[in-house]
Amino acid sequence: MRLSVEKTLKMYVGGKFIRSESGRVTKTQSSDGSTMYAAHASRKDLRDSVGVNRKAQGGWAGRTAYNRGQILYRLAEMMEGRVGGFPTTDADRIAAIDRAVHHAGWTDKITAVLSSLNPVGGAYVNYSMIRGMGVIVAIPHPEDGLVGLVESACQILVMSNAGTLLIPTEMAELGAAFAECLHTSDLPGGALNILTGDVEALLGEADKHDDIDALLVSNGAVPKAAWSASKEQGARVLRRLVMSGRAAQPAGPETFAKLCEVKTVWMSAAPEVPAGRVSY
Amino acid sequence: MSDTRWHHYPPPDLTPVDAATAAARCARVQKRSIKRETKVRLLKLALSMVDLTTLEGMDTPGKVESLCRKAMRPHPEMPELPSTAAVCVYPNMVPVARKTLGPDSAVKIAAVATAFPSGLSPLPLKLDEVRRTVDFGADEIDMVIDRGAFLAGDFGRVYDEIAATKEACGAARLKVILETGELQTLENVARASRLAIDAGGDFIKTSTGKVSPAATLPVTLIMLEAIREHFLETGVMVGMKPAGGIRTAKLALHYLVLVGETLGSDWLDPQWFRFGASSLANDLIRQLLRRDDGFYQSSRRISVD
Amino acid sequence: MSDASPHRLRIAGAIDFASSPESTPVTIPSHVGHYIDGAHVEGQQEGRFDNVNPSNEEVLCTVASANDAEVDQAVRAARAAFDGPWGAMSGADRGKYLYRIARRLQERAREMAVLESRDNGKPIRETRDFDVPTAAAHFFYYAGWADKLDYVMPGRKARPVGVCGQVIPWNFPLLMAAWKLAPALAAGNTCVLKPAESTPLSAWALAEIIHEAQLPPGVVNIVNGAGATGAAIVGHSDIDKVAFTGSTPVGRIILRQIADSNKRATMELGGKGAHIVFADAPLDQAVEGVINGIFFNQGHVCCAGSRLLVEESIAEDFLGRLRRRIEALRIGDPLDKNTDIGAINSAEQFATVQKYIGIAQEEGAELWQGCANEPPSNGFWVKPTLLTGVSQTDRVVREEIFGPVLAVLTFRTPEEALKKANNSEFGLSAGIWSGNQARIFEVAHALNAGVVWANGYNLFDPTSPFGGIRHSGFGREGGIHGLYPYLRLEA
Repeated sequence: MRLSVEKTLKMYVGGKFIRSESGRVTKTQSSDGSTMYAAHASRKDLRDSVGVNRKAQGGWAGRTAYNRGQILYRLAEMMEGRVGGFPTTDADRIAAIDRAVHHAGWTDKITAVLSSLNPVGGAYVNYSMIRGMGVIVAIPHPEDGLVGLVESACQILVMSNAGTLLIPTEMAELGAAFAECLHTSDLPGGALNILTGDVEALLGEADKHDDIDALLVSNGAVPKAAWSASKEQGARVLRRLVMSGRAAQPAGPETFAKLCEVKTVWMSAAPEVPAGRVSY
Repeated sequence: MSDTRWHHYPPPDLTPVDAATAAARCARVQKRSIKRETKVRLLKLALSMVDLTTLEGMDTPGKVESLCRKAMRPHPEMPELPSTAAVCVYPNMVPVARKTLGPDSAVKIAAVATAFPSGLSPLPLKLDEVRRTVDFGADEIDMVIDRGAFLAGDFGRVYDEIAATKEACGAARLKVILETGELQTLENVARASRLAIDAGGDFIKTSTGKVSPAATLPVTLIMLEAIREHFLETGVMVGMKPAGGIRTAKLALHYLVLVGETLGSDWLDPQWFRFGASSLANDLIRQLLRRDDGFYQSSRRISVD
Repeated sequence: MSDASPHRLRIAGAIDFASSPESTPVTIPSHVGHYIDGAHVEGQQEGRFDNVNPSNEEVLCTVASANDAEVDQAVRAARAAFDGPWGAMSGADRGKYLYRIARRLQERAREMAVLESRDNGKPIRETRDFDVPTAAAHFFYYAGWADKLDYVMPGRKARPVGVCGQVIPWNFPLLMAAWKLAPALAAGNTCVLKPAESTPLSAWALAEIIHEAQLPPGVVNIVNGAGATGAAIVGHSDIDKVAFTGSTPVGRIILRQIADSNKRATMELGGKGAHIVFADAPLDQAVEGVINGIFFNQGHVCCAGSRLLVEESIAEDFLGRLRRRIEALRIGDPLDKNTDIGAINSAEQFATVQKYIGIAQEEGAELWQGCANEPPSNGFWVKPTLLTGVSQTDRVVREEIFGPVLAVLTFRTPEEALKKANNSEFGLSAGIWSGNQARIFEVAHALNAGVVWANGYNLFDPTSPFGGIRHSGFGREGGIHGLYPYLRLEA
């Protein structure tokens, strides 16, 4: 019998597959029952990941909406064509790919749905446009599998944000497979990172990090005590904790509306003094 | 021919104007509430600033004579009222006005000249008209600029015409009518104001009264700001005359507030601010009468001119 | 930085306005209690406090301070109304009630304006021309939404959230009440609203209007009191949604207080608005904008343009224009129709503003104060104040002062302007003045702020969403976006 090559699963940060800066790994099982090891994110890994997100966000938001949609669709293509598939059920894999296709179509439409031209009194053009919030740390529900990862990732990316997914060690193999798809999808490095390890501990670290614009938690992904603590800590920097529904249904505009800022612009459009009327 | 900044391309780079905010500024002035002793003082001041005007093709010596008497004694029942600043007439009416007012009258004689109201005659003719009008006894000449030349961008020509007219005026004060209703944008008004001041206008004036809209508060604000900039740069005061469309005392007082808040108290003087108007004087008198005896007077009580 | 011209205009006092007080009579009750379950109640004896007219320091009335039991009563009434008549009512009928309120507000506008000026200290010019008409407009706007909620978000059914606990500040007492109540009611919620302790009068009058409009009892409850009453409202277990407008520190306290719950929250907090004037701006109108940006409502405005960023090449010229314009501003009796600058709202806020002026001087700022006239001897007054020679590190540049105090900074390039403007924990508002439309778009879209005014400032409209980012809070008020926080949008 052949001696298998044990694999250590890395995390995905800044478009690279990395080990934890701490060197820590956790032993886990692969979907076929063999032993694997997964990088175990440290607190510093989270801080680094958020820093990388911050640098990448402007570039991602600066892409055209069309281009962002192309990239998310490319993600679906990469997932569809992935040799060996994913360590998950067929149903989950199919749903996840279809979900990526679904969200790819949002990038250049959500602005029209959530923006408005406001008929103010006075000579002003007034519009409310949406902008990404910045950096979002997200926790998909582990039971939502691959579609949960796609859902959280797309919620972040559709709205021009950059972010980091926190997933438990048990999901590391699925996360790594997904990361390989992200990696080949033309997504700019750092727009989306994936860290594996102790999700609650990482969330606790996120609570102490002020340069995160929102936390996105799938309902039930962490116990109430954890998200309450996050809200309490987040009060210091007025950070929002967005609870999103489970991944069975794709996020709609009501969720996207919580992952962006609405910016209202008043532009003077003054009519000049009335035209003269000659009456010689 | 002069060689000034107005004779070169590109023309002087002036600050743009945001019309919505300029209008909002004027609306705020119109919220000023002028009551009691302030009202009486400003009503009298406004009356003393009126260039009592008749510029009709059907003007006759009789009409002008009557206008002059009104200017000297706006309402004989109230001898304490000031006379108006001036009468404003066509050149041919200047001798009648001079005869009625006398040689050294406090009431000045202003006359429109330079092919009023269009200005579209050869410059020598216009200059000759100015000289003759001054010779008739006019103290002040109200000229019109060539709006066509201005709108065509020929600022040098507009400048030269004003400068030549100023020279032709001799001792008479020159008011330069921009005809803002034809310039149409506040930025044009700002540019024309600076040009007219640079070329030697003693006053800048909004309108002939023959084009609508005539004087408006936003246009006046922009012109006052041009006067202010010139004063801050040179220390030289230039006068302002909104003309046409100012028919009520209330509006006139708001013009005075605009002047006070833009140029300060030195301009609240007939030497530096005038109203070109005909019916305004009677409304001012009517308001003053009401202050005195507590009744709104029928306009029948006050002479029509 | 001083105006270079040796020539001076004599603007201050050029027109010596005789006093012109607004004379509409108003009734001020000797005591302001609560409006709970459709009835005016006196409130408990304990904790009553005096409400002072900040323009003369005279006591206007006493004000009740609701305890936990009274707050509970109000929340129960709101719940009963939500589960009862209000919840069962058609959107069209809810809308009609809001139209009624709007119309009554318009009809009592002059009286409301006087009440607000006496209570708050702000000029009648503002309450008459801005606060009251804009409040009425807000009710009109949201009235029309009440039967159109399913159009708020495509593909989503809209349902109300439940009982809303709303806490508002003293700077725009009536208008903030309108901003809170109108969208909440249009969306089908019921409300418990707490006015600020120093300005209860216009909400008291609004309760009368609501009563006259015959809203079902409990739909709107107004309880008075200070911080403890506010805490009792937002902390009440049967509140579904918290809406707060006020200071950032209090916003934090509230968010901590409700962290352990599923309560929704919107926060409209402080700001330190950057007001950028480029060299190619319409300068005289920019002056007007800057004046309106910082001296509107004595600078008691969360979105005030309290940081002026002026391009270095025109800084001296611009400050000259600014000072000349300030010299025409009249300070004094809020009821005088010619007053531009009213009273600072309270002794406490007056002390805060004075403290910051002291800090500015310690930090080496040059102080300039001007006005057309001298303020009265009684009451709380601060003349329009310019601070020059300040830098990004100074507290007066970084912290919200909430008074008529403008910190003046310069910049050399658009990039530097943006960098400085965005160098703030706040992100509520910003202004740009330029004659270059492409530059305006570029800068407007790059500013980190919830509201950007380009060639204008402090403009408001019910159709226009308002609110901040970062430490200025989250959620929007006004426009279609102002409905989101008050609706459950479900597939």
